[in-house]
Amino acid sequence: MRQARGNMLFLCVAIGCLILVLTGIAFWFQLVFFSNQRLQDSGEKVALIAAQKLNENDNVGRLNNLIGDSRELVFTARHMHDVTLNNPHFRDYEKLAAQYVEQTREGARIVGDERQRLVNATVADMRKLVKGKTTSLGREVELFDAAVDKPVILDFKLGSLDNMESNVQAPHVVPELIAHDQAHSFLKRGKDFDFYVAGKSLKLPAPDDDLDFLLSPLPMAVNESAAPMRLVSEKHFKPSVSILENGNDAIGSSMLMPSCVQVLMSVKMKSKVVNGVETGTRSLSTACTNGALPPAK
Amino acid sequence: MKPWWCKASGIVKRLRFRRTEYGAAQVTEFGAALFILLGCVVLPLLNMAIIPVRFGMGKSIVTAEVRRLARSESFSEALASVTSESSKWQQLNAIGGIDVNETELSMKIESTKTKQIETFRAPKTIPARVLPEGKDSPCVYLLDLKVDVAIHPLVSISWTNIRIPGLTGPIPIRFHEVAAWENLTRDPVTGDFFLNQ
Repeated sequence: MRQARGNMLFLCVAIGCLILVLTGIAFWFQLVFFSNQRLQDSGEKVALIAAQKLNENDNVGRLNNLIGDSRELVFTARHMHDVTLNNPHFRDYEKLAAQYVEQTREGARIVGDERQRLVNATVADMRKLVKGKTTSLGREVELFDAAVDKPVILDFKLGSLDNMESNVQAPHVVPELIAHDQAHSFLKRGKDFDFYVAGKSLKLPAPDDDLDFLLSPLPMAVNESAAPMRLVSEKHFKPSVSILENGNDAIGSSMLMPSCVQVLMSVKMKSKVVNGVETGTRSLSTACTNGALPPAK
Repeated sequence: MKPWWCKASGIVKRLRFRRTEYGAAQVTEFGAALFILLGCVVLPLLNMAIIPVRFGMGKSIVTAEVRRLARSESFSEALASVTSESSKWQQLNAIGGIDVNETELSMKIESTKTKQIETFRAPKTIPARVLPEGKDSPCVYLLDLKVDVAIHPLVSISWTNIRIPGLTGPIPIRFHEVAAWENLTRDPVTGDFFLNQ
């Protein structure tokens, strides 16, 4: 009789334990799905916030246009100087033309320095943003037997898209410059207008080939409509600067203004009942900044 | 006269006596009943319990996949990504117990002006009126992904020709997820919207 009572108790306890274990597993899976979704949302949020800052007030678009205009100015100034040298009617103006060439060249250097300053300032801003975000990313979540840690940023990279060119349109009024650029494959043919490639030093003919004109990649305005900020596929991302690598600060800079951000985030889940049982999930999000505004008419 | 709780405790005592000394002893010793309980109730339930887990994981993967596809540069790239054999639902197959039968990707466009919903299954078929800047715009652009799968139970037992979905064979399920299309810009080379390329 005692044996029978013991068996009944054992059966009840076993079924109770089984139900508890199954409930625990169900909660664990539920929390995995929930934390994965939450992590993806956090990653996208961080990527979009960072991408928004890359082309705030169309800084990159305007700087690109400034570099393009500056290049055109150096080319036309040199052309004018050549005319004063070769044409006896304008020889008296040669000194003035030479001074103008020097001024345009100096202007081009200033614009180049300004581009580098903007790149450095943006990278520094991104470092600050990442530091701020690592301390304010959500909070721990606990559900039944499982706990989810705060999400952490593992990698944070700046870059651009592999097929992205600059927003600078080819000048219509300087056919010699267009011919030079076409010969050197600096221009890409578009339906309504030609535009300059990004990330390539757009050298002018000698003696101005010592100047570097680098245009940053940025979505251009087509048909008077600027490209909105968006999430993009990670397979098109081309990194140029790493801000964070495996959770550690990375040192690096870039010559070009980045137009995209890629964030790799992870979150750890731990069991509160069984020690050593933990799992993790990762999420990769890439966002592209808003495009350049249409050029003023 | 005894109070009511004394009477009640007597009944409980009698019941407990009966259940422990006779009823419970009979159940635990009744092997056949236990076998039926385990074989016909507990094990099939455990066998089927994996289905909601696989369903949840599959749904989560399809949701992530449609979000990933919605970030493609063009509609044709999204279609190519779905139909390419190399990337065809590797994650779903990796879970085990989920067979991907068919996938269907389309672009669902809802005009906020006319409230009309149209579905497009191929690039270059979207009319200009529903594209951004078209006369029916603004519109909502949703990438619509339908994945027909068969979710197997933990152990598929097929000793007869009768297939009970979820018990002796897989359950056919359709995952249907949508995500907002991200790239609403124009291609400067062609002048067309990437959405329609």
